[in-house]
This record gives sequence, C-alpha cells and structure tokens, in this order.
Amino acid sequence: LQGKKLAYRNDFSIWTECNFTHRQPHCRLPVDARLGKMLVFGSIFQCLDKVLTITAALSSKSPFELSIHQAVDVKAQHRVFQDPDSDFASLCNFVEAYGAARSKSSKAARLFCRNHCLNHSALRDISALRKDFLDLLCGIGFVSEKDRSSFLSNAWLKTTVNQNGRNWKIVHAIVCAGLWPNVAALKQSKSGSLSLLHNGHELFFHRSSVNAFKKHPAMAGNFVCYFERFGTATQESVSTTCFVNAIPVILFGGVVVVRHTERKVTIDGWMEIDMSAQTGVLLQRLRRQMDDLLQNLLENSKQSLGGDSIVCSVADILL
Amino acid sequence: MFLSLMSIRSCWDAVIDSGKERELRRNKRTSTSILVNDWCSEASIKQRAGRAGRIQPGVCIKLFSSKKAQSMKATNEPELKRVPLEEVCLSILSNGMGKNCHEFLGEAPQPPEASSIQAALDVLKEVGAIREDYETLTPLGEHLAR
Repeated sequence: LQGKKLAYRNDFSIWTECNFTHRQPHCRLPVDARLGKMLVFGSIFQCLDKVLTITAALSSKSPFELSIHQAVDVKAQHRVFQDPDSDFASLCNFVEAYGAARSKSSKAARLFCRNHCLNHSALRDISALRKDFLDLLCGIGFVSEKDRSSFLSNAWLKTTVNQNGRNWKIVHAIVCAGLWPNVAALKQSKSGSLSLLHNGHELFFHRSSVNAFKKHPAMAGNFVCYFERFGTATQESVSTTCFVNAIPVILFGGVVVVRHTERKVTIDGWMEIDMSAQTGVLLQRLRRQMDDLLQNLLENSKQSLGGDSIVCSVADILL
Repeated sequence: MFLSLMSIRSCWDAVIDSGKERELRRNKRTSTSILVNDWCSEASIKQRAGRAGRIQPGVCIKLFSSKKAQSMKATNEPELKRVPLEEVCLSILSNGMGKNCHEFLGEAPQPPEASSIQAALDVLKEVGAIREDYETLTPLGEHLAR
C-alpha cells in the first residue's frame, strides 16, 4: 500500500510525461466525466460523429474569436453556419466546414478561419481531439477497429456508429445525458421573453446563445440543456444551449419518481413533468434496461452494438 | 506536448523549453475540467534544463524572458491539491484501492481538501458514474474508469 500511495502522489506527472515521450494506446487522455458519458452514449446510440465534434469543441477553447473592431462583421460571418435553435449544432457546422476546408489544403483552412473570423488553433485542437476521443472509445471497445480505420474517409459517416448521425433529436438527447443536471424548464415570463427555471433559480439566455431574444420555444421541446452558467447574484445567464423535450430528460436525467395518482413524474426531486403514470413507468423500465446493456457491455466487450433491440426502441421513442 | 520540451540528440543535447505546461483545471462556468496552458514553476524549469548535459555536453534554450523567469512561482503545489479529482476518485473505486475516497486520499502525504473530494464525488453521482452510497461504481462508471 505504501508503494501505491507514493505512486499516487506523482500519478499525473508520470503519465503526462509518458504521454509525451512515447504515445502508447493505453496512455489515457484526461476526459471530463460528463463528456466521457456523452462519448459512451454517443457510440451506443450511433451518432458518434456529431458527439465527437461536440465533446471536442466543449473541451477545448472556443473557436469564436471576437475582435472589437469588426464585431458586426463577425456576427454576420458566424450566422452563415449558425443553427436556428441549437448552439451545439452550430458548433458542429463550424467544425465540419473547417474540416472540409482543411481536407483541401492547410492554406485553405487558414483562409477559411480568417474569412469567417474563427480561431484557427482552436479548430485545429478540436480536430485533433476528435481523433483522440475516437481512439479512446476504440480502446475501451465501443468502436470497432474497422470503423475507426474509416475515420475521415467517405465511409465513416455510413458506419454503424453513425447510423443516427443526421438525427439531431438523438444527438441532443445524448448532449442532455452528458450535461445533466444542467437542464432547466422553460417558462414564458410576463415581459414576453423566455426565461428558465432550474431547481428554484431563474436563469436567462446569454446573448451569445442563438436562443437569446427568442419569444417562443422551438418545436423541439420545453426543456433547455446548457453548458455554461455564469453571472451575478441577481441574474444568472446560461450559454451554449439547445432545446429537448421531456423524454430525454426522463431517460437520461437524474432519479425518476413516478407519482401515479397525480399523473406526474419528478426527477431528482425538483423537476416536475406532467405525464401519465403508464408512460412514466415504461420509460423507467427502459432506463433500467439501458443500465443492463452497459453492464453486459462490461462483461462482454466484443458484443456488437448494431441492431440492439434496446438501442432501437430508445431511438424510436426519441424521434 | 505536455511538458513542452524537446531533446535533440546528436553530438550534444539541446533542450528547448517553452516554459509552459498543460494542466487540468476546473472551469467554473461549465463545472467541467479542461486542459489549459500556463507558465510552469521554477522547479520544473530547473528539472527540464537538467535533461541536457547528462551524458554529453548540452545546452538549454529557454523561450521566455529572464523577467518572466523571475516572476515564476518557486514550486508547484502537489498535483492532488490543484486538479479536479473526478478521475482520481474513479480510479480509486475501480481499482479497489479503497472503498471510501475520503479515507483513501486522506492518507496522502499532503491530502486534498475534503470539500474538493466531496465536489468530485458529487459530480460523479450527478453523471451517474457512482451509486448513492458514494462507494460503488455503476456500469457507466466502470466504462468511464477504463
């Protein structure tokens, strides 16, 4: 035990150093627990490409570079790739457009960043991280060697891990799974703008989010996932947001309690959702089956994820 | 490159030291941990320079001003006291080094604050990586710990 203790004290410096000198596959990249969860669920629910981009973008610095002199221009330039309802989708659009430019030449990539007022080094980091995260997932058996080798080729988007790749409802559900408890319920305030309620706190959209200044919630749902939360004691803002409906919140959120007589579902004791008890119980059962699926994957890492009945039924419900 | 130093090996050694290091920090806005670049400490500068001239003559080229070198902090606090502890707690629980993270980390030569251990455990519970008892991993936690 003494030896272990000693090793622990220097643990980080040791593996960082070994990472530098010879990059072995088992040398672990530090991944935040929330983003790690997103990656695991992203590969299970077969929308890995988008999830790789989102996790990579969230774990590196922001690609949006704002200089004061051209603030108006910058906004217009950024709007080209902006998704109307989701900052996460916008991030993906930027990274994909950058990737397309980069596949031509590195000069084209630099030019793309300059033309669209984006931070080149951040986008380069994001591309590198995407690959690193994929290697990690391959290392723990969530992505097959065959799928990994097709990364960045034309076949990549057609692989099993990307079957639901174009489906933003599923991608946003995975984002919600990773970011929980950063989820708030929408409410229409008297002034007509939207505000958010999270465990008794009122939150507001920060103007850097695409969803700021919106008057009506998007079709996608009445709950908002957010990545950043900041502000003063009087007003707290959230940024990098997207809308989800009640189902991902129940499937991937906190502890679910079904209150049969009131026809309500409570999550983590503070979020209340109106729902028939039958649906609530069904969703609860699906949750338990997802836990079992993860357990099975632990015991039998060779198991293929494609076409699993639980994965299919969850994907169907999310749509 | 974590330590940002290069040793070129020919007839003599050269160490090129950027004076920077990458470190895991907690991002307050997002309550996630991110890697950031920051200036390293005098002690690490000395250690990096020591890589040259061990077995043959060598030089160390430092890519920062002497003024910067003077303003650097003398030593780093132990890593365990600075970084977010989620990963450490995950590996303690998954390797069976101890049942209770508080107890286990308390035995370290310079143990981290109890509050930062608790914060890490709370994050892990929110993520769904550990169970209500703060002592066992869920299947998701097992996957994350691998």
